[in-house]
Amino acid sequence: MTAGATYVPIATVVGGNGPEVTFTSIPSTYTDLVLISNINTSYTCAVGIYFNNAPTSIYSVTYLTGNGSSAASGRMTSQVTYEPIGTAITVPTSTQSNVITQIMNYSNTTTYKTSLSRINYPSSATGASVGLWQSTSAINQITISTLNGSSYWTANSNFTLYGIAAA
Amino acid sequence: MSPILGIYASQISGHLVTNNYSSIATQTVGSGGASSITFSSIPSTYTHLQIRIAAQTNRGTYGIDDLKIFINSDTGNNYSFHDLWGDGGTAGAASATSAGRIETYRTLGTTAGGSFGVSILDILDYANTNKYKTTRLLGGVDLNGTLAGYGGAVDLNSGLWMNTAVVNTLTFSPAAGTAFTQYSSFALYGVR
Repeated sequence: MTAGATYVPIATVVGGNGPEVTFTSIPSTYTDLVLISNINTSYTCAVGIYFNNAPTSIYSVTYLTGNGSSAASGRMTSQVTYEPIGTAITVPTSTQSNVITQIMNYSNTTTYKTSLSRINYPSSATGASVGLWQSTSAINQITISTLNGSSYWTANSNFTLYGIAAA
Repeated sequence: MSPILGIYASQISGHLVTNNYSSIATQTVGSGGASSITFSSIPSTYTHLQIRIAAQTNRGTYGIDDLKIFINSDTGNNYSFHDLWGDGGTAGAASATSAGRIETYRTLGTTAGGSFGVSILDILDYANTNKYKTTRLLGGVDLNGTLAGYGGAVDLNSGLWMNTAVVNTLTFSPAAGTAFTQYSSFALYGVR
């Protein structure tokens, strides 16, 4: 077996300019992507992730949450974005939260794309989800949205994208 | 590395100093399918292993399948595991003791459902000969709804292999289907 070093930072975007941030021209040279969203918003909102500037109704998600008193699971189908924790639990404005998303096999052009997320909203909930994008296109652009034009990612928000290349 | 990134690094399974996260080997299933996937002769020079999986099985009727994990070709009742899952309607949990494998819940897609399930499996301190080996996995599959009454799920799994031997072989197989289908991929990484 041969080993090659990998796990490479591709780019970082800082919030403060609006309800969406976008990574463009993502190279296709990796196998998986890891997106670390360190988030804070001006108003409570959900989080939506969409690919290739295509917020069309081909996203779905199954999620698991714990809010401090109970655990729950839900599903959203035929959505315009991948919402890692649905809409029932919103990003709190009072604390820094994070969503860590693994976008698997993102550059293949044969299969639909499946992603995993771990959601950490320390003042309100924790959770995990699996999301599906029913497209065989290679992912070359990722947008992270507040899904609310009035709610901005604050300047304390930053988003970093990493690439992992398999041997 | 900034302090903030250091905090994140502890949560994302990999390490952000790239020389400490290395690709060891990858297996991608060809057109004929594969009844199982095995990594053998895994070097013992890392501290942890991570396996990143995107896989589908040939199971008919249902859109979901479970993944079975075997260490060092051991099929004896030397494993235990816990699952915590959400299946879109219920948050559930299950466990098994003295089991013949580690099994994860609805983490594989099927040809019937059309999706690929994905998982990230970490095997911690795999080369240490003083302790049993503990694994953790985050995985799942989504079908954009249900098929034959069953939808996908997201699963958190912890596993135990009650053996102090160095992990040098890993085998994966589907629980209900008989084979992994074309384009299923299993990528093994070493973390120092």
